[in-house]
Amino acid sequence: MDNGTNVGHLVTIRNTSTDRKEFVFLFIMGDEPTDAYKKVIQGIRNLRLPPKLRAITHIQADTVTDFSKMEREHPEITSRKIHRLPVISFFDSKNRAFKKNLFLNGVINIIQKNGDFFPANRLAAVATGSDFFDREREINTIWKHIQKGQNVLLCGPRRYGKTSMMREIKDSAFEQGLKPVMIDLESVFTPQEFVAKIWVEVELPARTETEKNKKAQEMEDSIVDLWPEEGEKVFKKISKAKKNLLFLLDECPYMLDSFLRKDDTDREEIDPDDKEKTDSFIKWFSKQRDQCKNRCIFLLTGSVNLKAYLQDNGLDKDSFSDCKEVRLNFFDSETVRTYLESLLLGDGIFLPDELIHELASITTPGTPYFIQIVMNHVVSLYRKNPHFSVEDLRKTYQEEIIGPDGRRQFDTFIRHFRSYGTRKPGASAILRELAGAGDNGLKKRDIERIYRGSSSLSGPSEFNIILGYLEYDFYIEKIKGTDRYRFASPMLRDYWQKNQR
Amino acid sequence: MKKTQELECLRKWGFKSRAHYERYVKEKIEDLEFIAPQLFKIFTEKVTGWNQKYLRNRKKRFVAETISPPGDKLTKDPQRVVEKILESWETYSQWQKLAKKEKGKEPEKYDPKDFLRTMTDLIRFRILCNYLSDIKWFDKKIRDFAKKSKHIKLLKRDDYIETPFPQRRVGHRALQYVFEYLHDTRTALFEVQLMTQLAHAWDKKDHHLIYEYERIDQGAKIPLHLRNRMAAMSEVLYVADTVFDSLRSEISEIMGE
Repeated sequence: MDNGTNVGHLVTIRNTSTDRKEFVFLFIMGDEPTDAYKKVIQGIRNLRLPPKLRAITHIQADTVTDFSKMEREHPEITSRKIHRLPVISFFDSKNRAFKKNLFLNGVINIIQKNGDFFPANRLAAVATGSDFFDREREINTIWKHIQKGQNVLLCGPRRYGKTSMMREIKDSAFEQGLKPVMIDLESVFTPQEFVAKIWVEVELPARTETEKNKKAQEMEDSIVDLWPEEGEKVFKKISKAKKNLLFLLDECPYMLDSFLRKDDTDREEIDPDDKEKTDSFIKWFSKQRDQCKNRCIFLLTGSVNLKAYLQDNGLDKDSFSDCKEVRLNFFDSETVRTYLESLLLGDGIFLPDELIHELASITTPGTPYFIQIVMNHVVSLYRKNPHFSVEDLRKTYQEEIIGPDGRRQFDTFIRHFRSYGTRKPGASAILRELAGAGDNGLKKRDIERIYRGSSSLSGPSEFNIILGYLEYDFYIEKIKGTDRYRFASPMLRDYWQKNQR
Repeated sequence: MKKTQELECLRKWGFKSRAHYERYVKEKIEDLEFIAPQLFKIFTEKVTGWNQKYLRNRKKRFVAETISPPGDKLTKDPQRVVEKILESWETYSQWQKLAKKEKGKEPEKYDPKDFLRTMTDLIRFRILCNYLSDIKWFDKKIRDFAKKSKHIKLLKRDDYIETPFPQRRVGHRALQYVFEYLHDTRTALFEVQLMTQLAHAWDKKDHHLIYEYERIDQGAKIPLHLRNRMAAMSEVLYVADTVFDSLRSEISEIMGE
């Protein structure tokens, strides 16, 4: 290691309740202004922590003149992973201020989540612990509902981090006096299976997945047409449990799709029997939620607008009206930047401001998924050429991220269109035109004209329904204070323009 | 200094208590914590470069390195700064009371508010050399560097290796530089000592065995014969340094290096 990067400050972050210590070494490069250095170190020393964290956190920053000899003076750092970063990675040169949120996030990761200072890029995987980033506002809202005993429907497109958020809620359920039961409904194909899964997860939580599946299968085979009665018995028993339960049920609409056998491509119409079965399940499930409302709370997730989905499929649109809706929003520009920098610094990559700015402009408004896609490419680019330019980044963006090779990452958004059924051609036409319209988007009446020219479905409500779908599914957004719409994510827009014309 | 005298002094300077003055000093020297590592880095990089230059076409060996004070304290603690300022006032007042014949050189009295411009060792570190002759080589390099540097200006150079006792402090054998660092629009003074490893070793022991007691006003308890032996050890090590130097030069000559 270059001798010059051995001088700086060693930051020690200690959880005083467990005595766990983590370290970050901030070295000076020599050309940074003294004020920047001072602002960062003093910012760290004077960091205002949330009260809960403040009580158990001790942060110290000490001068180090030779990091390579640190182990001699601080034997506790031996064989520990220490992030070694330039001190100016925590300095906002534009506002000449300490990047408080970037550092605070690391402290929360260490003290509260018992993880690493920076999150890791968990592209296409569920992010947990310190890898789960932000979403504080949504999580707090969900907890407020739960504490009031209200069921919650968490909405947001696929890949936007609903499952990760659910895990996050699950991990802190015990602290809130609730026993969590998490079930992925995407792999539930019948009401019998639903009842059986609930039963095994509540009654046999300690069993292995194989054992649980075996037991669930046995129950499923035995209850057949008796699932409503048997299911009711299960919920009645649950209501008598010592601890209140928190059911975390992921991808509810996908389960309903399976009940309606919408994946059966041979059929154009939904089978009336399937519809009736689904309808009776929805009513039954609603009754169960109502009957055990003081003992069980349900947190459901859905990638589609559930109300519109139910209505569209001829089901009772108010079946889930007991659930308070919480929408997963885009990250704002500050959060995007903090997340980008956290991922980069976690990989030991410090990029100049103009590159961070470019990355932020590509990914804002952001979702973890899009940011993770970009970061994957940026890390590869950096490994090939640590001094890559804004132009190199733009080229990678055009050719790799949103280019043909990036298709796999966007498949989910293309596939989602299937659920639009007969409305798909109209929706496609709208997105095609909006993709070419740029940041200013198009007026609502122009979009309506495009829709009418490409869809066989007519009637004024039809256009509003599809516009509602596209907006709800985060494809498009209404530009504030105007009657114009545009693509919600510039990255998805660019991909659409390049690949879906 | 007696507590009453100290309080009188502090009040005259506009401070309610020592703690109040320490807070003031702490604020004044706050920036130094961030300037000092930058200076240390500059010198570390320079010394590394000079080492490489020195060893070009020579057998590999340890030549020189920059080292920081124990605990990486490149800057003086505010408490120590206050102590030093108060001490200087006490020394000055004692000097004033001396008869004209006994007075000698006027001791330095630090301005309690403007001490940053006169106290030269608020930032300090050392460069240790293997041989005495290495010191000469590095001394030249340091002076050349200061001449060319836009930001670092040499204000003073004292040779406490060649200077005979009592013109130098007992035991202390180093080349001592005072520099001015011009950064942004401000300046900071700092001190660099260039000495051999043996001189540094003596200094470390002296610090532990004598100086730490002196700092807590217990130094007088150490009898003169022990102090003399401590001082003699510094001379022994200096002699050792000169012997090592001539051994090196003779062996190199034999080896044709």
